[in-house]
Amino acid sequence: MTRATLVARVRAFVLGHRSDAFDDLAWALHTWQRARHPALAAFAAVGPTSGPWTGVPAVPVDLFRDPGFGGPGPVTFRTSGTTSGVRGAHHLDDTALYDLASPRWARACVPGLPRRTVALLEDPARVPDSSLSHMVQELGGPVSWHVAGGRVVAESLRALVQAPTFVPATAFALAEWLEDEPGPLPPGSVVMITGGYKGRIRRIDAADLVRQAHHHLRPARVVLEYGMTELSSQLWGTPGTPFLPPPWLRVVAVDPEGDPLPAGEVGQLRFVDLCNVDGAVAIETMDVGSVGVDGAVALGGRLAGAPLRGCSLALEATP
Amino acid sequence: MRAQVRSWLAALAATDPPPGALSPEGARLVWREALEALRPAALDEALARPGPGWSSMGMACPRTVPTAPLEWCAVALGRGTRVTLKVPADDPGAGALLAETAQGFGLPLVATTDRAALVEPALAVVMGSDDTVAAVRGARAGRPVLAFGHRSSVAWLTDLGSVGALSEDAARFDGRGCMSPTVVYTPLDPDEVAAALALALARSQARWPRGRLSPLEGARLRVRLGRDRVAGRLHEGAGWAVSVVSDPPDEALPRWLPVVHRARWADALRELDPAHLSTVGADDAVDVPPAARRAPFGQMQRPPLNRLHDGVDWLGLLAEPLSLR
Repeated sequence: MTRATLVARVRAFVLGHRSDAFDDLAWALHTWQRARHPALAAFAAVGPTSGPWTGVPAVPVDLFRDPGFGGPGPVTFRTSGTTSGVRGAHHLDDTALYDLASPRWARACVPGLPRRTVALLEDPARVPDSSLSHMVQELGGPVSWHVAGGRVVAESLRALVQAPTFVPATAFALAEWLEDEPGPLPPGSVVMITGGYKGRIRRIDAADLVRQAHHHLRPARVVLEYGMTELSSQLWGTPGTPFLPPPWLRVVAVDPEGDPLPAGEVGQLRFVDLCNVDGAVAIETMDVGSVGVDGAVALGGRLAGAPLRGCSLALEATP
Repeated sequence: MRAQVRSWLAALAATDPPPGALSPEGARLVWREALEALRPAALDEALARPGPGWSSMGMACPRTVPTAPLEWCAVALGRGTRVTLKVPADDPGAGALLAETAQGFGLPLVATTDRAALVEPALAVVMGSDDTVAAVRGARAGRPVLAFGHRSSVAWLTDLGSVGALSEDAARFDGRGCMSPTVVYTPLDPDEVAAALALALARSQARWPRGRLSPLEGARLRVRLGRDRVAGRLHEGAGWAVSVVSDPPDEALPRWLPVVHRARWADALRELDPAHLSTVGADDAVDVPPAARRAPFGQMQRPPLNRLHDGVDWLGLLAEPLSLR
């Protein structure tokens, strides 16, 4: 099995040509990755090699901070950091699948997503290792970037928002912008919130942030995105509803022993992302939540006591 | 009171303990051993300490060592002290059983989930994180607190014949107690030690299976064991693991023993913080810091009643309140 063959199979799956079953493709990717990465082979040495997709050995995201996991490859995305200060890395041979899958699911989940984007994010030209900025750039259309050096640059922002606009932002960046009490966004605009809500210094109340966004930016719609550097696909939702994974990504909640839980039970979340061709197809997060029978994910935050992480930390770290 | 305490202890010995996070077998092991330490002669010796005792005592029951309140209650009740146990709301466990049984013998022991249990009594005894200790001290506004903050323990192993007893120390309380070995220092070949410990831990697991993991413990174990598996120096089985590492790790996980090679005990001791060292398990004569306790393997988590607890003469303090003030 070559990488090109696997990519072609995943591409067909993403495009809806379901020649492969999810389980088969997940195991095929894992088997190929084991052969390619000695670290993954050693990690998964005691795990199963076939069965349902929930059994694919899931690499804890903490291990992406170690050499040997998630790569190597010419493209590197890095986490914004954790309270430990060490950044995780996800290396890719290329971003072709990423660039195919991410916009496809974003546009499926957010009908009428404006092409014009005013991003409260760092410019990927300055931070090429930000997977979030890369994803937003790949959504297509003109993009302007309004976070620099970890601060929101709001001066020029108002003039740019004269037509329906997509405004992706980390929770902390949006909170900072809303402190300036920006006026309503044009009808048809969409605000996307992502990233963690707990920082090293402060904590944002997620429900309050959504209320503030509605209050200041109405009639813009507010949507939520859940993504991770270690994933190549994202989940989307709206406030108060579970996050929807794309058909090529599945989520399972596990108990403390790592065994899958029935639908609706709260546990630690694992993701199997078929677009993760180059690193590890299955990852284990430090997030908790429950997965419905339809596969939608109700997030419950971080495991109690787990280190903080998320795109918001990069913003908060700036004095 | 002394006779009632003896009757109470006898009744407890005939009772199956609530397992809490431990397996039923693991809970029975530590329950039996805790009661054995309270044999009549040892209790008499403890109660012979001169002093009026305290009028009342509140104690927080630690989740990690559910039998910890047993000896404190036995000695305090034997002195006529009224005791209130603050138990976790979601797992009242052994504390609730102690109180319920004691009341049957007319002993003034109650269990409650109310935090006031640590505020109102004349003495508060707290074993917990440094944050917990600080919170209790703050709530009591200068009134007496006997506090035992975060401490950990280590092993110094010089003979492969000691691994069996050491594995039992690691199995007790699933390794969560402050007297549990969190790292094994050895001057021997660490890979040989790890291989021998693996066999011993597997045997301990068969006798006293590991209990429940918390969600964070499960997650951290998978990270740790995954990392060590990649490094190629991990032995693991269901419910236990041993890693060979170059330096002592900064985390302790249930039934996971990291093995670190050091040529001499003095080299290991230099790496340890004496202020946070509880017990040194050793099969060799080693010097330990004044506040730490040295114990033979198999006894790390079975301290005698008459001892210094983290350097504190706890029997003396329960007898003579003025010594604490």
